[in-house]
Order: sequence, then structure tokens, then C-alpha cells
Amino acid sequence: MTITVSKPFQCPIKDFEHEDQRFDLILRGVHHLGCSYEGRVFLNNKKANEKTKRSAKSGYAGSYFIFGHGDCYGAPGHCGPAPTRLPYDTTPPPDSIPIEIHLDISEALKKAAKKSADYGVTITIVPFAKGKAPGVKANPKDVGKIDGPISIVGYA
Amino acid sequence: MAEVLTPELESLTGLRYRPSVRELEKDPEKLDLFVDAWRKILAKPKEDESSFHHIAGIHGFPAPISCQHNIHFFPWHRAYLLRLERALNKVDPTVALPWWDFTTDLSLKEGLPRSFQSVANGGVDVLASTKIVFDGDRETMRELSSPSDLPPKSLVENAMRQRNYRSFRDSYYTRVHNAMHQWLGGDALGPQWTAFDPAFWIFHCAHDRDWWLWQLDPNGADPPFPNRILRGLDMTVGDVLDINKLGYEYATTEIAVEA
Repeated sequence: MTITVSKPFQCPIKDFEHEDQRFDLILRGVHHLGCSYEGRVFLNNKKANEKTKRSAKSGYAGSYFIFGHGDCYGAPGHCGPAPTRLPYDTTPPPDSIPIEIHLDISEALKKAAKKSADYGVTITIVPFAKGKAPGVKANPKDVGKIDGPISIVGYA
Repeated sequence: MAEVLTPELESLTGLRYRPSVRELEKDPEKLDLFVDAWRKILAKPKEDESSFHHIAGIHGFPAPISCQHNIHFFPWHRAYLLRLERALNKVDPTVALPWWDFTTDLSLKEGLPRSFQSVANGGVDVLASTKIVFDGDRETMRELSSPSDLPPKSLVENAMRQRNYRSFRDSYYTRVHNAMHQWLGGDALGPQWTAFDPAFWIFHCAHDRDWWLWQLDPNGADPPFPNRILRGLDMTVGDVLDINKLGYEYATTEIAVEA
């Protein structure tokens, strides 16, 4: 299981009373060929783990869910790396490539930043796997791999 | 006063009406017909293309995984649900797949609809689990989370507010659909055996209904690549965009308004 902990960053909040202000957590390069799991997002809780309760007190901001393939069961090459695509190739990308996750964490982020002296926030992503479907090869301990950058997008 | 879509209206439109599971459960006679049809397709040999086992096997095992969870997640599963419904209709033309609204207060309290719960909890044997002939005749298994952990209505509503197909699919898929598989646990945790669990069909039917309602919105755009074949189902994306052309409907009421 891979728990991801971000470095502290300064939350770009200017006006806490602005009702429409929204912040999305963007995770790029999220792998989904292994086991299914719930990705739990905590703010300002570097020690969060799979036993941490999902509550406002623990800094819980929300969850995303991965429906994992459980390994590759297709023909040879089925889940291999995507071949180089030509610029005019308009076919959909293969199923196996890592995906991008968007999660609205506005309320939790505003609360966490408000509590912090300099609006500093850390993000901890804890994968929680129930187990695995019968017969699959993948190991639940391998879940949670994120290859791409993590960012916060704000809509003021 | 709203007029409920009765069998008479159904025959007028010529469309199969897909009921909610709760509605089906309120009518024991209709539930019995549905269960009988389910038993009949379960009893067919797995080599028969209209058998439950053949159809459930298209999603994952024993064939190479055909299900699509990419941008064509919604069209693929619409065609897939239709495949099962047509098999049911071969043995009883009056039945339709029911959908489960997992966001209601009752669902958040009781979890799965009664008929799909374990036999010990009052469920119907063939809707509680399936004996998988491809996997040593073992019963499908679930590891249910607490009913209060079902995806809340707000997540469905958030997806419904999206204004392009890709955002709608991304929002619904990662927060609602994937959460449902995680909630059911057991065989539902992977694409290999999940379609053998009868509960798979009723929550996917709810996804299909939500997609249809989103499509009806003035901003509900079609998915890209309409000519793409839906793997293992001999239909294209474009073939499944209009549920009425596929012969079914979710609408329950039609009110005549005088001008």
C-alpha cells in the first residue's frame, strides 16, 4: 500500500466568505490495473493511515474510488504500455493507461487553511482496500500508486 | 394528477418499462415473473448465448475481459444490460430489468433491496448469489459495507450537473460507480466475476437510468467516437444512444396538459 504525503503548500485562499470559491484536488497518473480501493484524502494529518476515521476532526476531505482490473487477463500486450500515437490518431486511448482524478475538497481545505497560521496545508492520500476479488493476481498491498503530479485547482 | 405508466400505456408506446426494484418488490406477482425468468436463463447451458452464464462471462472471466471502463463506460454497459434483458425477454417478453436507487433513505438504512439480500435476510436465492459454473460451482461472494457508506445523492447530483460528456463520465464513474463496487466488495472488487453477482445488474441499471436522464438535459452531449464497436457486444456507441430505439423506457408518468 502506498500512502502519499505532500509537502506543505500555501492554500491560495483570499476570501473565506466567498461562497462560490471551489478547490479541486487533481491527481494525475493514478494506476488502476491492481486491486480496487478507496483513496481517502486527509488534510494536515501526515500520520493518517487506513485506521484513521473519516471525520472532520481527522482532516478527512473526501474519497475517490478505483475499480481495479486486478491484473491483466487479456491477450498478450492487452495491458502493455500504450504504443506511440500518431498526431492524427483520434481513436480513444487504451483502457490501461493511468487515469486522472478530480475531487472537490473545498470545504475541508478552507477549514484546514483557516486553522493554520500561514494557510499551510499538507495532503495525505491513504488507499483503503477491502481485499481482492476471488482469483485475481494483484496484491492489495500494491494499491495507491500515483505517478503524475498532484495539484489543487481553485475557482474563485 | 400524475398518471402512472400502466401496462396499457406501455403497450401503447410499445416500450418496455424498467421499474425500480422497490416498485417490483411491492408487486409479488411481477417479482415472481422476474425471478422465474432469471431462473430460466440461469438454467440454460453456458454454451447458449442467451444463458446467464454466457452473458455474465462477457464482462470478465472466462473470456478475455470485454467490459469497457474508458470513455465508453456508459454505452458499453447500456448494450450489456440490454443483452441480459433480451435474454430474459426470450423466456418472458413481459419482464424488464429493474434498477436500484441506492441513494434513498431506505437504501442508506437497509442497503440492498430485500429480494437481493442474502437468503438468511429474506432474499431470493437466485438474486442473492450465483453458483458460477466456470469457477468450480462456487457461490459469488459479497463483503458489504455499512448501508450508510453507499454513495450519497449529492455525488450523483454533482455528476448530473456536468456540462460535457467527459466530465459527466469521469465524475460518475470514479465517485459513484467505483464506490458501488467497493461497497459490495467480494466478487464486485474486480471486473472478472462481478457480473455474476445479481446485484451488479440492478446498480448498473441505475447508472444507465442516470445517464439517460443526463442525456435528456439540453446540455447532455453524446459520447465521442460513435462508430466505435463496443467490445464483445456487436453494437456501436451510436447504436445505444437512444433507449427508446432499443425498446425500453424509464419514464413512469405522462400528464396530459390542456392548452
